[in-house]
Amino acid sequence: MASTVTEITNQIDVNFPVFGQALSSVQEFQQNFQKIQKGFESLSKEITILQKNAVKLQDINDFGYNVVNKAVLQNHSYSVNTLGLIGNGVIDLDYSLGYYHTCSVNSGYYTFNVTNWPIGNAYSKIRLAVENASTSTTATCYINFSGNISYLNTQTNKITLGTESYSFWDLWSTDNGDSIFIKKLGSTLSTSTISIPGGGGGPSGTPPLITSVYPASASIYEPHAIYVSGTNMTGTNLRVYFNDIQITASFGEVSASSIIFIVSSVNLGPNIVKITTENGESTNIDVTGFDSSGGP
Amino acid sequence: MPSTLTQFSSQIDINYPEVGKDNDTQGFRDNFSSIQSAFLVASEEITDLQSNGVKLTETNDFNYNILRSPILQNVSQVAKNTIVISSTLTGVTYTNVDYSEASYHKFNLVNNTLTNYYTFNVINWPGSDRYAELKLQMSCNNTSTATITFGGTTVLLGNFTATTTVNSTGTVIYELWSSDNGSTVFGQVLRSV
Repeated sequence: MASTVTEITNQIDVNFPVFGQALSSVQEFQQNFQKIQKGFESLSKEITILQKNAVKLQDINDFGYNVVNKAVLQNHSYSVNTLGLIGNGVIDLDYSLGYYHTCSVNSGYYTFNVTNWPIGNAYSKIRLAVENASTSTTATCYINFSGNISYLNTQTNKITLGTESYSFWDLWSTDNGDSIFIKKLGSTLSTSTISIPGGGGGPSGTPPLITSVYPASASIYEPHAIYVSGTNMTGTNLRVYFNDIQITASFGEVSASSIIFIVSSVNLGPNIVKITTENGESTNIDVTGFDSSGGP
Repeated sequence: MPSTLTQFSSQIDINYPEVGKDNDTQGFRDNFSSIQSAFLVASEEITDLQSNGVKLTETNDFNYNILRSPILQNVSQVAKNTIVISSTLTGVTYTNVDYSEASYHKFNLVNNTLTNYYTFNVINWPGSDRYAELKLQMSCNNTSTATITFGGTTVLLGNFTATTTVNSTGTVIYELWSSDNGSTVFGQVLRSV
């Protein structure tokens, strides 16, 4: 949109006062000054809009998800989100903080959850770097990703990182994170076996599946018994999460292929239960309000 | 910061000169002075926009300032024209790869002996806490083998060591990246034929 200042300034009488002519009125002077002042008001507004909305070389510019068309990038770079040493559990990777996300780990269980994917139909990608920062010990980790994930190859979630070694993943989505694709790039430890669970489980076993949920009585506040099937579910690799926080569950019957455990902190809700093993994780199940005749 | 020229333009006396009154001519001079001051502010603000604003028809240098939440469409990156590099009969051929020039570099390697050694060193990474990646595409001119090494601390993923080979019939494409000004560079081989 072009400037409209001249619509006002064009009205200034530039021939006033007329040479050799007696002034009949001073009104024209006032009118010219008024138009000049109005012209400046309009000019000020247009400059203010440019100052606020124009892209500036020396400032942070927020494009608000508007399209930048036909730019050719040179000497460009991307923001880095440095998480440092992370603990076991769910770790949020905030897309809005950077393209490259780095973290350090010890041995343990980690589930990465990407948040704040760009809105709309936009191809969006991040790269994750996981480092074993230890200079003396290897780290055996179980890496998972939350959401509707499609892996480019079938893998298990166990990785072994040598001292000061890295593993890398690319994650991308085109629909605001509703569906996420993941490709494991590899590791700087050349002999490591890096893998991530696929939708049907990796070659070494079946992910856990919550098959039934029964409250001890009709009251939603009573403990709930959770029935789970899968493989390799014994031992220290089994983890139970309640509303995304790892809990110490009371186990009933436990075998390599099935478990019954008790969740006693059920309340009005939500009451989200998830199981993870070395073969992957179950879907989230909200156990609120189940009766003894029903199930997931 | 909004425009401030109205601080002066608002001082223009729009009721001057008054009808039927013996007006002091100072009023004209005061008004002209306010007009001139307002134009001066406008000029400064417009000049700032001209020098600091992004222009669609020129190269724009953002000086590492952040572009937040753009959606990129029909966007590309500068690729450098193919450079021909010849090996030495003895020793290693060293080549600097300037990140600030382009993020895709192509090389034709002219092998002059049976075994040929090339070292590529990426320079001018964007600085610490800035992630950057570039691609190197290499092919050979004859049946000899080219041995590629990267300068600095470059770690390749997977089963590739820091030294890889390019044979005469294929093209190798490397992707290198760093987030600490090139202190540590990671890489992967995207294609090897």
